[in-house]
Amino acid sequence: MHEDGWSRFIQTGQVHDYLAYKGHPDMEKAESKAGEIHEYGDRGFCNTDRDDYKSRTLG
Amino acid sequence: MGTEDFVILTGMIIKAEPLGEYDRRVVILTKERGKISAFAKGSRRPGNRLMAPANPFSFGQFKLYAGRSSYNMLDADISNYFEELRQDFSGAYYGMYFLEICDYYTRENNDETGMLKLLYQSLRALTAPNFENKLVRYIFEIKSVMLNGEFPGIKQKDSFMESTVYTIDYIVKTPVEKLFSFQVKPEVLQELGTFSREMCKRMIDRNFKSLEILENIE
Repeated sequence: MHEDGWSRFIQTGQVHDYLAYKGHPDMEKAESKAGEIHEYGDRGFCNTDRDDYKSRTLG
Repeated sequence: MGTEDFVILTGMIIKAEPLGEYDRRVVILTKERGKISAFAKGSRRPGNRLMAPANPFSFGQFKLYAGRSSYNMLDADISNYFEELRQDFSGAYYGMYFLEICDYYTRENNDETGMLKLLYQSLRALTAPNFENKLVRYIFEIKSVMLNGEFPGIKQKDSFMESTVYTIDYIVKTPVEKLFSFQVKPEVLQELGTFSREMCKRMIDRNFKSLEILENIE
């Protein structure tokens, strides 16, 4: 699936999609989505909760 | 699939939405068959020949296969992508607003030549540097209401300047091809805006997403 920036903007009509299309620096962080779970190397899945992260790696 | 099933239509993409993994469903305002919807299969695959044509504002000739219940886009020969709008933030929103109005007013198998001409000329005026976008918007609004037989006339002529009344009359009576050939003074533009906003509030029973954003950025 491929959706270029202009197509996305024209479909949603959202200002932030236009900024992303124009490569605005503030929009670089817009890659990930809310609630996304990240995998860190060989340490398995973890969320952004620091304590949980420690318990997995140090335990 | 016999050759008689193919049609070549002249028109403009006014809406496109993703469908499945790689496809799009597009709405085309055509000269020959009014507003139709079609499937552009594979148009979201990188390198697909329909990728650019299946975007809003693409104007040209579309080769379609007319199935029993839907059209499938096979090829397109685009003469104008209106790429200038990609560099102009507010111009893009004005253009999107015009597309939304066209989607609101037009129907399948109606003769929508007037609306298609108006849309094309208005987008050209938006990309022209010597035309104020607000003036293009008011002309488009008044003319599209008039083309659809809903123009209410100017009821309170006394509340507008003579130049404003003349301008409205000119917009209503002039063919679309010659419509974008004049400028107005700032005070006339303001009154034109007042008239057009009131008229749209009365005649169009829908809020347009792009207009809300336009009103905020203006």
